[in-house]
Amino acid sequence: MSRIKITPAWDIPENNATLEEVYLNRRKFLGGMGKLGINALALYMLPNMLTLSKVFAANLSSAKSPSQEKNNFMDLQGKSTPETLVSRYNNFYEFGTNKSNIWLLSKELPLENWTIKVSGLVNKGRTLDFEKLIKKMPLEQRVYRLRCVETWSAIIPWLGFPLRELVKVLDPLSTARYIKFKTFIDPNIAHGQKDRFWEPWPYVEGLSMAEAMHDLSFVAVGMYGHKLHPQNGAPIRLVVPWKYGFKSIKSINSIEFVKNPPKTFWQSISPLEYDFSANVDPGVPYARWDQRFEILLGKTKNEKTKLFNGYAPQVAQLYF
Amino acid sequence: MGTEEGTKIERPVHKVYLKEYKISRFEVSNLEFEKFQPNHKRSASSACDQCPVTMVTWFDASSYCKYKMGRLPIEAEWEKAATGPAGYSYSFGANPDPTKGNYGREFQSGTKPVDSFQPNGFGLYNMSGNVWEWVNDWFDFYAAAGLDNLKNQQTSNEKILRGGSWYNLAYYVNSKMRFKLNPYMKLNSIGFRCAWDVQ
Repeated sequence: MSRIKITPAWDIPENNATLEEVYLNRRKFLGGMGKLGINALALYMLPNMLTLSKVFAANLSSAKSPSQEKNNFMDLQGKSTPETLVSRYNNFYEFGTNKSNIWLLSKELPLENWTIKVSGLVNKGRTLDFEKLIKKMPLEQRVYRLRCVETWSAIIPWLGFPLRELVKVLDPLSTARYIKFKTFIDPNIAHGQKDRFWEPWPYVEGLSMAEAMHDLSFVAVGMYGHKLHPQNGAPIRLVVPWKYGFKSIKSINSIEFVKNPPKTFWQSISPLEYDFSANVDPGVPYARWDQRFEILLGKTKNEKTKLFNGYAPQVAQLYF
Repeated sequence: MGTEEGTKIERPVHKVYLKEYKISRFEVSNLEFEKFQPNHKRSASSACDQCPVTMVTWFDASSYCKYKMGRLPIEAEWEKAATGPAGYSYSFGANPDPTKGNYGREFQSGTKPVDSFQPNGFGLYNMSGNVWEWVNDWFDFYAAAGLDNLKNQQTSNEKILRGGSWYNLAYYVNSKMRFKLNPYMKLNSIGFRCAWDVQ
């Protein structure tokens, strides 16, 4: 009897390599240390690789979803954007507006004892302990395209679990139609929240229940085989690959089930520019950016942006 | 003045000796400001006659107060007035309470008339919340200003704002927290009140 492996249609195929490989996986890296010597890259990557927690290791090894079988971390070389780019070029206005130093400014974000408040239209409001939560969730790895509204993009191997699995745990009432997510607020640490005091902090984003329950909607707690870095949204964030990146809210500490579409951070600031759905659409320009093209981090040539960031076969039925 | 609960710009807690002064009980309203500047365009977030005037630069605010034979309050005067006789962290009391001031609300909800809510122990309204208020001072660290910022030498290009607005959370309406901005900026959440020397 032959074994049939089901590959999700949204999976990024092996031959779709987007960059010359500069990212080294853990096994190759550790094995190659003698040849490489201790250089700047090694000094940066070693601590990250060694932080691969027991929770991650245990949950990843027991995960059985087809996507994870296909997207095993060790099989991803050559497909993903180099982590050195993804972890050094970040939008996280809580820490400032200069993408190149967010990784430094966000180091003080306290990740220990992280909790998530669950409220609104749920059978039982409560506060979840992040570490306890992820022990319950079956972690898997998914390689998704990320498309920023600023017309840059990346291909990232995320670690996490489907949002719908979390929604099931949170047990919303049938009257819940939308989910409102909030990021932490602490202007003493997140200096962007202090310097840009006029913004309506904390950051708020939202999804309809139909979007949240879609198979592609993902909750990431790690990337590139380790826990999320603060600049990438540690300890827990959304990844909604068919929407512009600002929908994938970082460092979530509040989830509220609501009846009406929540007013999001960007809608509050600029309602004419940002709509609630914010689906990637090359046919709809934003005020500051023509959305027909994008540039993948590390590349020098533009490429055409696809409707729903290339995930139209999976998600178009949500909207048409 | 100052607090150890903030960032380095609020530290250290220190004493400032002030001369006697008067300060307006209310934020300047649209109606009042438009007597001075009839062409002022109201913000949709603060549109009623008795709502606080917004969309004013620091220079607009300073000019208005001079027209009223006064000046913008010195930062230390503003903090003393906001914390009230008891020296509370919030104008309305020791602890955050959104029922006592216009803060922590939806961005779309907007300002309230300048005489809304109960006044603090000095009889001053809405010093925590409603709109940010320009004060006279250029930004500097307290320590750098020799713990005596009354001379207000210009060592930066930003002016201080205090008090938070309707959509800010408790941190921002804490009367001891400092914020800074280019004085040429005008926002729908920034207003002011005036002060006067006592001869």
